[in-house]
Amino acid sequence: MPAEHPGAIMATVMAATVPPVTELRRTDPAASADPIIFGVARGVAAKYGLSLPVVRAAFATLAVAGGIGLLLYLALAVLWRDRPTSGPAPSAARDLGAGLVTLGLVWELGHWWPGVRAALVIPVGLVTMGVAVGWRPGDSDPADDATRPRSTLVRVAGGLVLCIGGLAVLLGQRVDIATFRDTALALGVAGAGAALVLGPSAVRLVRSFSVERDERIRAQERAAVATHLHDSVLQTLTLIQKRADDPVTTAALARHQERSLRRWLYSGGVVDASGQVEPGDRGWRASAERMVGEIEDHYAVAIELVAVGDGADGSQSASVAVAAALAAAREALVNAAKFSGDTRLSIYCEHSGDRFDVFVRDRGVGFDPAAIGADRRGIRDSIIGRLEGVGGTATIRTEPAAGTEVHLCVPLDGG
Amino acid sequence: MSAVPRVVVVDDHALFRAGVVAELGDRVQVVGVAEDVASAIEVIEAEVPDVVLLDVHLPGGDGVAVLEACRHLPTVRFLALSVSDAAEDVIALVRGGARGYVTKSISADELAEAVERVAGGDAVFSPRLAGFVLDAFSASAPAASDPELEHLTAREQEVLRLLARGYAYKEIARELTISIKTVESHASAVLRKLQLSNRAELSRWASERRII
Repeated sequence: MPAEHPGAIMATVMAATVPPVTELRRTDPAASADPIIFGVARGVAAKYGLSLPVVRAAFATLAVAGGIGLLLYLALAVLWRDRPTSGPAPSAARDLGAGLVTLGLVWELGHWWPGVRAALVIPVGLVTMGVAVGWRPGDSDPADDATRPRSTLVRVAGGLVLCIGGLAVLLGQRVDIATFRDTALALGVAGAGAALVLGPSAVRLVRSFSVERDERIRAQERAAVATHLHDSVLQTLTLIQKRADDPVTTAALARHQERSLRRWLYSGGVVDASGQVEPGDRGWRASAERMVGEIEDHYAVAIELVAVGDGADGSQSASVAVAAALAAAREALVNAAKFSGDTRLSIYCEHSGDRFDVFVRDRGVGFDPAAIGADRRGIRDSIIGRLEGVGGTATIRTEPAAGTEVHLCVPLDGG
Repeated sequence: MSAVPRVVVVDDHALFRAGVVAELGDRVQVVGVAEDVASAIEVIEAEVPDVVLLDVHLPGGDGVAVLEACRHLPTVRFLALSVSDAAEDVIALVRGGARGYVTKSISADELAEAVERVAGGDAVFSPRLAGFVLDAFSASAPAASDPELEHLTAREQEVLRLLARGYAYKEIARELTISIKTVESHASAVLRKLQLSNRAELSRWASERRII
């Protein structure tokens, strides 16, 4: 090996270093089970409880040191036949020891072997070892490190010390044009080494952060759902058990809870302190739903609401007309709930752009409109009067024993 | 068809299944129950019932999966029975071939009547389904490839409105002074349009309107 030409040595160094570095990236145990050459490094690692990358780095460093590593490797390959493939688990301390032994060997060799140029071999050796110590198979598994934080710390610290040592030795040298190229290369190797040492830890750190954040978000969501279910559903179930002998109350509770839960599930509304759900939208459909819910709760009836048409963003007067029709509908529903004797009512609303129709129907006792006394102002004022105020009409169809249907219709000015 | 329809109840809630079986009583003969898609297909193929009461959401794929797997049994009719009010779910099942849709809050009598109606080949519209259909078809007029399929006739709209207002077929017949048979044929025509129409609006509308 032409030791007099630093460039040639560096080329050799790179050639010797690259395969182990490539191998170091392969953290899959199954993949690294294939021997690269003869499996000597694996044998040494297994026998002495060292990391395979460390052993490979040692061989690579010694190979740079005038070819000693190559000779050693070939000798072991020939003479050491029954090499073990598994042994004690590698420990960071033993790895560090092996690294230091290798460096010591190189240092000693530098005194009497002409092929060793300490100025280059030592920095490169230090960096290679640093990388090997810092990066071991299994690094990609955060759980693995979580169980052995101390070992990880020792490993990364050791790798860093070796890398920095390599840089220090290098920078301590006289820098002239002849060694500038070598320095640049060595710095590059050292930088790459540092990146390799710190890289996995940084990646792991970031990954564990995001895993932790996801878990926190999930936990918060679970807590929110649990709180909601506790505040609403569990409370209601408890109440229902207590009132099991009161079917009317039980049914009302169940209906109220069902409505609340549906809102919560489907419209993404928020629940206020009293367990009421604020609906996400504010259109007439939402108003109608709210109204139906209130009447259901208050009068212990079941109301089927069917709404057709959108009529979004109508004009001011159109909204007033729709609101008047809904207010009249509330009155009609309340009348039906109170007097019809039917506990299942229907309300159908249709917004067809230029008019708004509401039908409120029950199958109860019905009544004779002519028999309604003048003192009963509910229908006259609350229903008919309201609609006339916005130019609408109210038609009441009823006959005794056949139920009642109130049809409310208001014109909309092109809303 | 025998006098008493043979029914299979498919629902993943055992309590609800038991409730339906008890409620239906003598008016139908429950020949099987199933709790997920695989067991539903198995029991339907084994029993070939007249009517399947089908829940919208099932483990192992939704009700639509059962409909698709049972297409080779044209005599089996499906009635969707759901606690879900989401238009998307309802429209998907009806377009998948269900002969109607009722909510789980339906009374025992109404359910038995709906089963008999479906067994007889008619369509069953709950007020809510009628509202969905009116809403879907009243959306802006499509570029119709087949106008016959894409629009409801005035009479069909009238029938649907009355259904949405909670009228029974008998009451609709009286209201419009037509026969119950005519009401039934209007309802079936609407169902057919709902199933065959290729209006893009229908699916888009249904997915936008998650809940009424």
